[in-house]
Amino acid sequence: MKSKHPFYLFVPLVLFFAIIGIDKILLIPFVKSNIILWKKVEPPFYESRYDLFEQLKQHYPAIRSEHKKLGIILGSSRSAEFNSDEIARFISGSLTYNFSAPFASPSFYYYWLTKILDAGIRPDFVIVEADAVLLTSRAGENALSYSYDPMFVWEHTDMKRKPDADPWASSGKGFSKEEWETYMLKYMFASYKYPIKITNIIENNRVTVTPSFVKGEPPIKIDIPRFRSMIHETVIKANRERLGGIPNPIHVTVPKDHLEQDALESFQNLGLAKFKPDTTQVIFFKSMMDRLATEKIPTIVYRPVASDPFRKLMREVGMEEIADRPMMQLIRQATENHTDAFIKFASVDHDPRLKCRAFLDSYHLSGACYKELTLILTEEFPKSVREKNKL
Amino acid sequence: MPFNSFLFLIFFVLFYPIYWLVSDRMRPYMLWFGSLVFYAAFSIPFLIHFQMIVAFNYILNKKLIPLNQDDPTNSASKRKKILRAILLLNLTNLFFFKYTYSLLNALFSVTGLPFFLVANFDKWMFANISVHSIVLPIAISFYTFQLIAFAVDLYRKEIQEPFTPLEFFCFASFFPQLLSGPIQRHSDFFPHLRSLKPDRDRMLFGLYLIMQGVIKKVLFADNLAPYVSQIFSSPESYAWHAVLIANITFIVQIYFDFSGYTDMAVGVARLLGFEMPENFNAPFLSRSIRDLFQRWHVTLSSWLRDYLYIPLGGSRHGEIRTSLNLVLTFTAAGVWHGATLPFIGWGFFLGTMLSGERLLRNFLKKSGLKKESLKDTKNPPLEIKNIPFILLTFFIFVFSAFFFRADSIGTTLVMFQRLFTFSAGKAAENQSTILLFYIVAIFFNFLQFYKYQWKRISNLNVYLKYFLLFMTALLLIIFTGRFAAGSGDFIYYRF
Repeated sequence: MKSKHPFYLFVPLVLFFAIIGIDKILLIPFVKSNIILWKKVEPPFYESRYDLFEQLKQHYPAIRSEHKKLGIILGSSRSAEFNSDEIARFISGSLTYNFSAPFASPSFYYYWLTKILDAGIRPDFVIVEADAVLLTSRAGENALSYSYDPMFVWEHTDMKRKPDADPWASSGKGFSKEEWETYMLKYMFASYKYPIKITNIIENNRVTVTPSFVKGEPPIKIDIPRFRSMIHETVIKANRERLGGIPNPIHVTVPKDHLEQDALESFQNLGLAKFKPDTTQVIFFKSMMDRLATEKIPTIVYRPVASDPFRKLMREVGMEEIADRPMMQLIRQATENHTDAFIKFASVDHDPRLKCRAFLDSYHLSGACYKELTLILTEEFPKSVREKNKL
Repeated sequence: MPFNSFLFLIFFVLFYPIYWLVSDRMRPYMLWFGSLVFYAAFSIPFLIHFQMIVAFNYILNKKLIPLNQDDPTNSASKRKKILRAILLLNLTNLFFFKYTYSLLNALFSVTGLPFFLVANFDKWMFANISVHSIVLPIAISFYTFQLIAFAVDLYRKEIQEPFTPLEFFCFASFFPQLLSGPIQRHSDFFPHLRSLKPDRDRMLFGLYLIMQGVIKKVLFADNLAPYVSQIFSSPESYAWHAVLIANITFIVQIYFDFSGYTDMAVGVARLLGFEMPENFNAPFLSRSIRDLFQRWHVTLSSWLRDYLYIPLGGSRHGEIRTSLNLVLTFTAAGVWHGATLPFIGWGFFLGTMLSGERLLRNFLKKSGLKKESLKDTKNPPLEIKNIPFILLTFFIFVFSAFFFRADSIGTTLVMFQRLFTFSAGKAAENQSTILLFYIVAIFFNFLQFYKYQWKRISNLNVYLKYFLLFMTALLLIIFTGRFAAGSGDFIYYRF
């Protein structure tokens, strides 16, 4: 008997699901590591934060039973070098989990903050990195590709959001419809998340190349296949041994003319000359401050240290006025309804205690300088945070 | 819910199997329901407004049917009155949403009265009816065109068979063509709706068209857009050749964008058992302006011909009146795109070119220099001797982009000044990439011209067809993942 519904009727659906299935080949670790260019560190870093979260969940009962203090760092690559052991020198008996990821943004911070709090984990203090760089729309792109879960994005999307004339005054759930679309396409299709590029596959399998990571430094030889596995191992090891931080004690100083050139290029690439905060990131920054204030978690929001040429460019466009002040205003608004809330904005650039001012590039402080930075930031916390918990 | 969105993908993956699994009797209901969901994704209040407009149209159209069957002498004036009511309803609806602000701006510049300032008008509206501003409902232009065409065809007694409310609502709300056409006539739609049966070749070609549309839009149109925007945003700093490249690139971009949209719309309709009219047929291979508008946005051109140019008198009242009718029709098309000077300039320019071409052709015919008319042979084969005419037509079309793409008439004038004075300045970026895109556009035009693609594929073994579809889909996902510039809106949504 001839079927009422012939096979060809279902070809569109079969095709759709077959493509989705085949596309998933790209998620096989061997295939994935061959497709992602070895220099691209964002995917392993962002994805490793889930492993760190699992570590935190596992250790949390012990942290509480041993009356230790739990700290959380939410930042970009500029906060990755904070060392939990170093922080413990100033906040005694503390363990600080570092959820920083390259070029991460407030939406990513908020995601991890809510995930941590919703899992019943209550940090004793939080350090948040924030400046104009992280409030640009570009800063949100990595997390949309390599982080979040569909429910979080769905629950925090305004399908009917209209562009605000003043993003600082905007309110809502967070993401725009376009961001939801981007996230879902990347979530559903691996080829959107990890685009296939033949040149990447070839370069990933070369034995040696000689790139120079730091301008002005002599070229170095790298065994790329080994480097690829090393990155993965380093990140996982950092989760196990350093609670997510990747402290690097090496003191690198890049020559001044290279810094100047890099500052100009970075300023241009980040679109800071015509800075307009991204509505999504402003909304998430607000939501994060509100949540921290409601939960009464002592928090330091700090503006990361930048090199003199970069700071000069920031001053020229009046970044203090157009980015720092509105951020401080949002912090004030969040705390004014909660008497016991403690959220403080710290700008450490001009602090005389920060003597070490070596930079990897125009806005990345050298790892060796983080000791001083840690001291300055931890001293901003109230005494109750810095003192050891009574047993 | 644009076709190139994730939301549409989910909607269609859910809608499609249900649509075909329900009984034949239920399928039109399902189609209407799907169209309502599709529109509701944009706005629920505007969905109600849209369906109310369709309902009023249905009621008035129904009144025409018995009068059509009456003695013509008795019913002529009544029929005219009803048609006028239908036109008034639809045009008022369109004009209110599309042109109120333009009218206010014009009134303000003439009278200087503060009430006519848009900001003051919005304040007044908010105070009185709690509405912040007038928002253009999506698809209003295209559904208005279809409703007017239906009423006029009914008035002209070109629709003989009766129609049910469900059929009428499906026709007006049919989601694959709702946003930007192709503009359908009753004869394109009703026969398919009345026998919704699956057809393998129609469906497979539909799938192929959808993928071709995604390629055109996502890989080409969206990647060309930044080059065009860059030069149009500050033409004063670019050299004459960059200005020319920007305009050529815009024409190529809008071709990829709009024909990509049309491919997707026609493809989706085919999957649902419908065949829609062609909207693009190798426009870059047109040999005259008249030929161009038989190949570019064909359904709008034929709509303008049947419902504006012919009622204005068409070519029935001598050369001068015909030329005037052409200019008026195209200027109206410009106003439809937007009541701004650049769009009016665009329409006027093309109308003038078209009537100029007509006068020249008639002169050549009369003087015996030209014998054959393009009208005589449909889609005549391409010959080497056609190349100068193809290039001339293409560049006239490119010149129209100086108006169409510009934000203001000032931008158009700056661009013309830079082009005609051979001004020095910055060169266009990534010229080799742009050139590659031009070649791809020409390739797609040849595909449309010779209609090779499906003819060849349709003769293949069915399993080979499935395999080719699968490989195309696989390559599509790999290439869009690699080269997609981010899904931008379709250019014609704003109209």
